[in-house]
Amino acid sequence: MSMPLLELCNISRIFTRNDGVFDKLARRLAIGRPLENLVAVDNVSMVVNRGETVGIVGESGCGKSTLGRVAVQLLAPTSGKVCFEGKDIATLPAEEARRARFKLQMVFQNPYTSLNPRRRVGETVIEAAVAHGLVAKADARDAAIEAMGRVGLKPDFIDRFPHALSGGQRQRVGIARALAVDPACVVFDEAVAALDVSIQAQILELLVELRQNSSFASVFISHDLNVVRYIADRVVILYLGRVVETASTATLFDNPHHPYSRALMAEAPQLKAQKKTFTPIVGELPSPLSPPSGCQFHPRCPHAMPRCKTDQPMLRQLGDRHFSACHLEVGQGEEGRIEEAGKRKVVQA
Amino acid sequence: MAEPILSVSGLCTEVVSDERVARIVRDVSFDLYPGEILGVVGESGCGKSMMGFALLNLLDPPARVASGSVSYAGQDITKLPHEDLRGIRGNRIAMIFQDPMVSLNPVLTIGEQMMEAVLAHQNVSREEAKARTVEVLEMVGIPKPAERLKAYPHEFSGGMRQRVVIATAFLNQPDIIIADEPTTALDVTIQAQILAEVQKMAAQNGTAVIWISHDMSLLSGLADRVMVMYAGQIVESGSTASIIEQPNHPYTRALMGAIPVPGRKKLEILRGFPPNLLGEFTGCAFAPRCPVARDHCEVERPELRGTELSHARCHYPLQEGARS
Repeated sequence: MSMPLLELCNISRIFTRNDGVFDKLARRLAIGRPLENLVAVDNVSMVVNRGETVGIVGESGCGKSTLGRVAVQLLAPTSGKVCFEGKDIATLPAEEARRARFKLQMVFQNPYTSLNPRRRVGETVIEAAVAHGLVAKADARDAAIEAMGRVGLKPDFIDRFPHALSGGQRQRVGIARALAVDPACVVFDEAVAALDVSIQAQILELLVELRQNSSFASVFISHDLNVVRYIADRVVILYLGRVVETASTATLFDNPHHPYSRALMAEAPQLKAQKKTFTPIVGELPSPLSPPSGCQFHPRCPHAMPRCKTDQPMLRQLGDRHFSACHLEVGQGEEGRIEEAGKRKVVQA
Repeated sequence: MAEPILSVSGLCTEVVSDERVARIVRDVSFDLYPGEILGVVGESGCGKSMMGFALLNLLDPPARVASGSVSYAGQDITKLPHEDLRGIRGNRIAMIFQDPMVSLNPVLTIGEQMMEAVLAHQNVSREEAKARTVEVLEMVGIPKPAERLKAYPHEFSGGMRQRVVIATAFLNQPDIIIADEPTTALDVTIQAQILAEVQKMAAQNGTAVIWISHDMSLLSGLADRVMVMYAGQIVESGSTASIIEQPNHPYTRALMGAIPVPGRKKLEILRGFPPNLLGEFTGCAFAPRCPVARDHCEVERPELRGTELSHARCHYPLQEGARS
């Protein structure tokens, strides 16, 4: 296989509470609270190939946004390396690292806060491309109109301010800005979460179309399994900063192995003419400040065994590019799914 | 069928500014029955939230109920004086708002504000009120609720706060719960937990629920009946199963076509925007965006056609049987 476009190797990112001067002093004198470490991303490796869309799924606080930010170099990993076209970005000479960084772009979740309210749409879209010398200053206006055209924004939007745009139009501006520099990989961090279903459909179809016409790879971060299933070629499921399962979209949704993946799928709303009895996962998402021992999902897992409390399961290969971090054998614990199906009842009309 | 617990008739609301009048909710009528979960679906700005507010007479100037009635227990809520409304709001009819940070008082502990809601409406001791508070917090999955009563809202995560707001609505075992997109900001796992509780309340206590959402896939698993709103009007209403399997209004079909469901290769895209609500529509409000509109639709306003429980506002409904 050819060299992956973007490779994250054993990435960990730990956040430490930013203490005030008194806490620091107290700790020096050994009377204060010990420092608390929050492991947002714990030893995650993933690969993005050229032209591919990888979905990252998980609950709030599972580290999916942190991972996305590490991937585009907005955050430095605490350990591990990010390789772009086979080269570790951290060890590249400054000029080359800059070029690599700018091949990696991001589209943010909230289209209301990620645009500068005092800057006209055209400037927002084209500023980066001009600053990096991709577009001559004299051609900036034409280039902005072209970049906006690619995402379906009319040329007369160029002199408007973000407040005059709807949510869907703003998200298009965010996408146009990311694509204007001809990126190799774009990270979409919950890019459609804040939008109405009808606008969400417009943006998803736009992404599908853009991907066909240009060859950028993408990482699509979302908590919505239906959206990820629609857009991604491959899916990574995170729980408390660790990868619990990853596979091609078809394999993962047809044949999920990890109990957490199965539980997530059972809970996702589906458009069915059948009333559903919602069966929540028992218990609470544990605090990432004090994660459970062994398999982090064991306190909530319906199939937990004694060894799950002590042994952390490693990612195990189950099939072609299908990995799962669970002690269960393939086929074990499947009864849960049949039970779930039996709980659905037909609505009496 | 039993007697409706809430009966809404010809409800219209408007917002007046600079001598211009925006008519946000236009002639909405429906009945709500005990134990029923009624879903209200539509895009942002279709008037679904304002309708929810109007049901409890919660509109503040410049917004107001212009005409119509909301009858509950033989009284018209839109005409009741404030003292009488206090006995109903939060007690017999509870509302769950979208943003938990706005609905909770930041300077009171969770326990204080929740117990206040019990003590205001029920003649019970503080101990009993506390026990009830702990009980409902447990229902929505707050771990160790008795210890968390002393916590302030800022000590809770967004999802936990929203669960507190939802638990508060459960406190007095209301007859009706009006929920305005309360789970939009929550994870699917927590959403499932709350939906499970709501279903249980409706089935066991006969609580009627009005669940406002923009997501038809969520309502499909939850609601018994669905009303689709567009430009302040009900454009279609019927049992959830019939709406999903045989939608009559092109807008309903477009809303569902936009949802990424397994196996769908292309999402349906609804072009354009909902209409300006300042003026009157000459024809069908949806005609400019409608994929199957004909000349006639631009001229004549369609009326709701069908039975009381299943109807659509369309000149050319999609199902054969509904055409006249």
